[in-house]
Amino acid sequence: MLEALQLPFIQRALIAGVLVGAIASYLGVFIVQRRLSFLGDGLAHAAFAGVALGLLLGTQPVYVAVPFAVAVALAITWVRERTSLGEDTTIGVFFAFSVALGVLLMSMRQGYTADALSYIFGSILTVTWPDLWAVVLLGVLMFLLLPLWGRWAYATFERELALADRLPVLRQDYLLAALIAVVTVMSVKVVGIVLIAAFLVIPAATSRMLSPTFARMTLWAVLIGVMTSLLGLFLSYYLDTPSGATIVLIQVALFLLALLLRQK
Amino acid sequence: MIRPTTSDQFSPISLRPAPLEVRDLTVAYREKPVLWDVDLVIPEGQLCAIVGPNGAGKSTLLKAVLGMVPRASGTVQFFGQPLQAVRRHIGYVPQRSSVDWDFPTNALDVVLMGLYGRLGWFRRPGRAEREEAMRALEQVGLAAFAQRQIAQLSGGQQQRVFLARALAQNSDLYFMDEPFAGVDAVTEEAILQVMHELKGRGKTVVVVHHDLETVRDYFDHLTLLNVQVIASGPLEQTFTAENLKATYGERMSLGR
Repeated sequence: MLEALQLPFIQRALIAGVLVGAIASYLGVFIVQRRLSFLGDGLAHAAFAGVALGLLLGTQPVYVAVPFAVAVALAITWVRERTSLGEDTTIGVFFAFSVALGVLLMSMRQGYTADALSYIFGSILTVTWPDLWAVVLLGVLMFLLLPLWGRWAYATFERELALADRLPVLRQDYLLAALIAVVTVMSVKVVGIVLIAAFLVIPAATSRMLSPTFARMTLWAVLIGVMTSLLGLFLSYYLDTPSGATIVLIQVALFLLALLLRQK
Repeated sequence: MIRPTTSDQFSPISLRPAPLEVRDLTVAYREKPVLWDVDLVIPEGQLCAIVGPNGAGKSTLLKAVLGMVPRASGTVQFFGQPLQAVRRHIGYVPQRSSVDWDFPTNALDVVLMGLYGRLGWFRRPGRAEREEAMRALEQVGLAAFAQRQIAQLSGGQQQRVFLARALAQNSDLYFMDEPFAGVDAVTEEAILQVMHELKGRGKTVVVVHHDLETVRDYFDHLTLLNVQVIASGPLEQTFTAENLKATYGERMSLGR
């Protein structure tokens, strides 16, 4: 393994895996408490359509997938706030739209679609420099936004009170949705489109059962996200298993352990 | 309609604009008016009740006034100013049933969150805020429960946490949505104490209330609401059989 760490594509995979694990779990805490799990699922499929469009255009897929997924995230939030349709219905519509669009775009592409499969099931060893730079950029952005944690927590706990205190609750909704969209696209290569929703939610759900306060829940979720990503990547290297599936299976194992250990 | 009268209330600060002045306020959900042409003046330093039947728009009135639901028309002024200018001087205690009690947080954190409104962007509550929050919890008899998960508090204790939050905010005008609904005797007493403490400090408290039997004992000022304002003014003038009948319909009487 030590000599493997010398290889640039392994280094990129590790850095991307750890960063994406941390950011996804951090946002996952808000996803779990706001009951937005389905949003992660919908946005993962928006990422699929974005990736398909990028492949068709012959550019770095991440350059197309990020704006596309963010646009879908903002649209979902907008429709949800302007209509009385439920969250699930709104997301369901955009979910279907994205999958249909993605399939259509894939079919328009000439030739072999093996690389498309690597997006669906993840393929961390194909993380490119542009992928990594995008992840690092998102990491810096999230770090700069850390001081807003308390306000996000407040609006997550009691939306009405936060509104009464004139916190910019609506702006937060859009910002959170956009950030979730970005981290979703970043997670595509790490765990694959079909596992992203789990990757976003399970560390937060695990720490939720062990933490008495939201602060600790956040801390533990990030820790679990980072550790399971690292462990999963090492294991998948040694056992020659798919990285995404390995990470998510470890997360589920931890989740089950927390379920047993949970107080009350 | 009995118009509110402020001219007969002698007070040294009567020249100051009222804590709350609502003019021609209408709120509608899809064409259907929930509040219709509401005019309301809340006098300073008093305990004011808003009373009316279910669906009368009491909670909506609080939310519309605080900008939490959109207004179809009308103006709202606080101390003669728009909401944005005075928002830090206004406290709000929500209905207990609207809160997510399973949220992983403790009593102290809930009180601290109430202070975010006055902290600037990116500032986190520090030691001064923590001390203030602890004092507020002490005042409502919950100092020993500061670190307790809110899910593990009784209904009354939960209500008192939100009172402590309001106290810590040290506002000039308070809105409380049904604070007495479904609480135990200890909490009812605590709420009353806090209300009187606030009054003693010259604060104004507006309470959405549902229990006609206690209105007379608890409040100085009464607004009867049923989509429209039926009557609003000092309790002894407004708490009449005639007004109650106009608010609740024929079946209701004072003796009930």
